[in-house]
Amino acid sequence: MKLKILVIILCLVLVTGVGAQEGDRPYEGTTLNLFYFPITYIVGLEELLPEFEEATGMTVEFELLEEQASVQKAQLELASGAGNFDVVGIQSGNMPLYAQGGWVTPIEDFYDGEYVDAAMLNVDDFVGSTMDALAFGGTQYCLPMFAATTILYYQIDKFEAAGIEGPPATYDELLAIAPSLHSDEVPMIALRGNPPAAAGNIWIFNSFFHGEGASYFADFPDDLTPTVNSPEAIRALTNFVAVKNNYGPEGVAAYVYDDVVTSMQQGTVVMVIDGAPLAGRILHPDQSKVAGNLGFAVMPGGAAGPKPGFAAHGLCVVANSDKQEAAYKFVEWALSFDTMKKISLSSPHVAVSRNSLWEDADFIAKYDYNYGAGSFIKAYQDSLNAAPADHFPPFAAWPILSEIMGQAVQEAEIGVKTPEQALNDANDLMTQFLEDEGYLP
Amino acid sequence: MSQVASALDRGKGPEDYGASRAHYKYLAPSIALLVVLTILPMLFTLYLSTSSLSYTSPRPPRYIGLRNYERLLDDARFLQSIPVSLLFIAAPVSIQLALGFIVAVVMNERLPYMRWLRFVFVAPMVIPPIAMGLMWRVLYTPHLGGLNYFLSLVGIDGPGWLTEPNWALVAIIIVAVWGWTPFVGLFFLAVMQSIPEELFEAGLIDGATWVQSVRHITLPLLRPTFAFIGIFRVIESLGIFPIIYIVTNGGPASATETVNFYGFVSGFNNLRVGYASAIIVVFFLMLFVIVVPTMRFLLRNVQVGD
Repeated sequence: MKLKILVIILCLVLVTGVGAQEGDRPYEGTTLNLFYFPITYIVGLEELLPEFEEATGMTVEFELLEEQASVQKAQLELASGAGNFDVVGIQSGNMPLYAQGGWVTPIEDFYDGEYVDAAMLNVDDFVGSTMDALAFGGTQYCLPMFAATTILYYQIDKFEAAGIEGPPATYDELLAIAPSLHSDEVPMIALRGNPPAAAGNIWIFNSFFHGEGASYFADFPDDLTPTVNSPEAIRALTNFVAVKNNYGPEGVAAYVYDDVVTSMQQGTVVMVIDGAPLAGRILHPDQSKVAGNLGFAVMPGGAAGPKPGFAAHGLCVVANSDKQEAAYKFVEWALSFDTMKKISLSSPHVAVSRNSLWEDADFIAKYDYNYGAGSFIKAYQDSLNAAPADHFPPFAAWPILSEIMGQAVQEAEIGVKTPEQALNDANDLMTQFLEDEGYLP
Repeated sequence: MSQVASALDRGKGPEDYGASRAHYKYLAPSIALLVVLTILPMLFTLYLSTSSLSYTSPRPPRYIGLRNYERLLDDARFLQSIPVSLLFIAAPVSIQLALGFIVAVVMNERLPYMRWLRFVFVAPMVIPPIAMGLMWRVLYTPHLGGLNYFLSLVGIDGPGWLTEPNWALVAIIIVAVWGWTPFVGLFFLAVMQSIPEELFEAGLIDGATWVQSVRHITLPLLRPTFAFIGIFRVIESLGIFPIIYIVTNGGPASATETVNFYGFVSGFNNLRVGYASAIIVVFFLMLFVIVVPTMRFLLRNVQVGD
């Protein structure tokens, strides 16, 4: 009898124990698949994964490809429904495509779930512009992990040696100071040149384009007639080509972002305009030759003022995943304040997307580079504020328009066409494409 | 082999040498695989090429007949990709055959340190195309040192390998030649080493010089090998895709895009599946038109069993 009672008590303890464990870890045994490319945040997440897996009992498999291949594979597999992903990363320029295709579940659909940890989610803490960039038609589809803009990096001593007081505020000023800053040994500027498939020249050129007041469409989204051969656009491309061809290093027309970062990091150019999140790499303690000598500023503008680039990267729950809640819980953890702070402090990830982190003392202590020519964080935030949300037009067909424009920019740069010819041809191609696709009558 | 060859030469069918239904049963798995893995995808591509399927379009896909093909005739980028494709077939293959033969002749000689030279020569064969592309991209990029630096040491002002359209074409051809000449050379070498020594000894007795031996003994005996490798390399030459992808990404300004590369861009970057399918169908036809006459030309007078 005593033995029976003991067995019953033991069973009860075991059952209660298991029950308690299931309550804590309702997704125990679930395996999630995440797909993206290895930007700093994703690499940081992968390193913190054991914490999440320990806490939830889930397993998360990361499949990471090089950026261009990753975007291509994600789009094709999401479109065809062939993929086996639960969570995917996204660049804000692709948000309309993903939303219109119904490829991702609106993240706001999860907000009211009983499984939500409101403190961890803290949706109001995300930087507003990054949230807007990952919404479409008034619906929030994904949550941001990365807030990117472009800034001007420059070598302070080269400016001082040339007797130039500060960074140029306009493209005219940039061209005016160029002769005194440029030399064959250390050219004035490096800018991306390869067309846009792999985050190429359009990321930078669009700032010249919008900076002159040019627009991709007659009246987006009501009139999608392309206007990329407007006088403003031609002026933008003429300036872009003049700056690069006259004051850039040899081979700059084929530069990818790695080339630009390396040029600045090694001090082989006086200045670059590129992503602010790349500061961590440019100032890498073991590799940088410009640490202690780098200035930061909002990039120059044209007739319409400075228009730095803007892009957000986010995480989304895939619509055809059969583990929606678990995928949401992963996103919630991955983008929580604590996780984001750990990653930003342990890696060069400065492009954080939570307001509270931008004000965090530890974060500021690590990233507020200032070598006597102004604060990096101030330049970053001023650029984010000046950046137009439609740096990449929120349009499902943007990938092909970007491809056409990227080719046109490079054609002008290598001299096979004049800026005007290149843009006229690009305008015709876009018109034909938009007619074929049913966007224009 | 020679029995089958002679039977085929006489125009006989399988039934002439005892074929039965059982033969077809044995062949069925292979035929099924061929249908599932090759024929059906080709037919599906053909079907897609007549549709407007595009993942960026607000319209549902529909049948549009030959519209995609008509568009190709007006597409300057596509039209430019045709001569580029032909160049990337003709130039690397002919250079590989010529260089491969010369290298094989040299490697066939008993020279000092030949074992080491052979090792160095075949090294590119073991490098995967992606790594090969990355290596050459670094060499072609001026600010990373590379090729132009070495050229400058001998007083040559190197060109813009990645920024000048014509030089970018040359850059791709150089990588293709560097990467695949060892394969061609090794193949020639293997065949050369099977040529009976007596032939060369007889030539020597008749007073033939080394050059005459190569010309009148080695070359004629290698003719079927030339044919085989030539065909193989023509078919494989557009497998240069990963090299283009890494070294130039089709640029500058699409100057190094082949037809299949443009098909890839249209399908995977731009998500225009119907249009990309039309490009790939044209690419297939192009290969067919190139390979069949090439086979006939190279195999003329070559007997099965040679």
